[in-house]
Amino acid sequence: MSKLGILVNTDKYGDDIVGVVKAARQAGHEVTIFMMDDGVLLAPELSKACSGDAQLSYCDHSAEPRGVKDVEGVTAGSQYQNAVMMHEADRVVVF
Amino acid sequence: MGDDAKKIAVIVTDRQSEALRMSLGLTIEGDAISVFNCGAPIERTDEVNTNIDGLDMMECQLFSVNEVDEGFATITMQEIPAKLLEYDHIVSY
Amino acid sequence: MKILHIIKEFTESGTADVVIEDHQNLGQDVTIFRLKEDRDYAKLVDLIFQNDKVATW
Repeated sequence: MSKLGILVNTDKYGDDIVGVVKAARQAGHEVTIFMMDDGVLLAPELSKACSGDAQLSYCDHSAEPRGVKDVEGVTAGSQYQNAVMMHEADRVVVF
Repeated sequence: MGDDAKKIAVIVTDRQSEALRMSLGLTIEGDAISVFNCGAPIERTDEVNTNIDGLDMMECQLFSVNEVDEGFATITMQEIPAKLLEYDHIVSY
Repeated sequence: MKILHIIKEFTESGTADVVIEDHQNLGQDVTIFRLKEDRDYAKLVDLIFQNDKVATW
């Protein structure tokens, strides 16, 4: 199984992210999503659409000033989660 | 740096402060991080300077298309595409 | 080397154009996927893993 990492640093591409996640899972790949910057604003949407298909986390440093907190199924983390995702992923895409 | 270290290129075109903060964070797993500033000269704030100092301490390579970016090796836009072929991940910000 | 360049819908960066053109001029096997024109995510995922490197712009 190959690993796909998705870095989300804007809030413009929610539909594309969900589409890629579903297609990647369908193809048997493991998916990890890390949200930071304005990307954390997609946490509720991605939690609803992808929590069964991907491992989700966000950077709390970005989330706190944007009023994002306690999103079910999403780990409130730090840049550590991004570093682990990039290190372990076979491929990384950015949205 | 371990044998399994990845080479990661971060391309900065905007939101410099967040791009640099992320770049420093990516060093946590022992990967080799290079930063390419392809946009405007870096706006120096305390946070930006702290992150650049951290990247320097972690022996990251810092490149910029702007000669004025202190601490960055100057590179031309034409030199960057060939260099990117050396990296496992290309992350644009 | 096989390189996939993914262009997102709202990307305006001239950086992407320079990098893609140079990769083509360097003789790399370049594939461009424009999300504004094509939202076949299954095809995109296949391309992501078929290529040696991926850059998203």
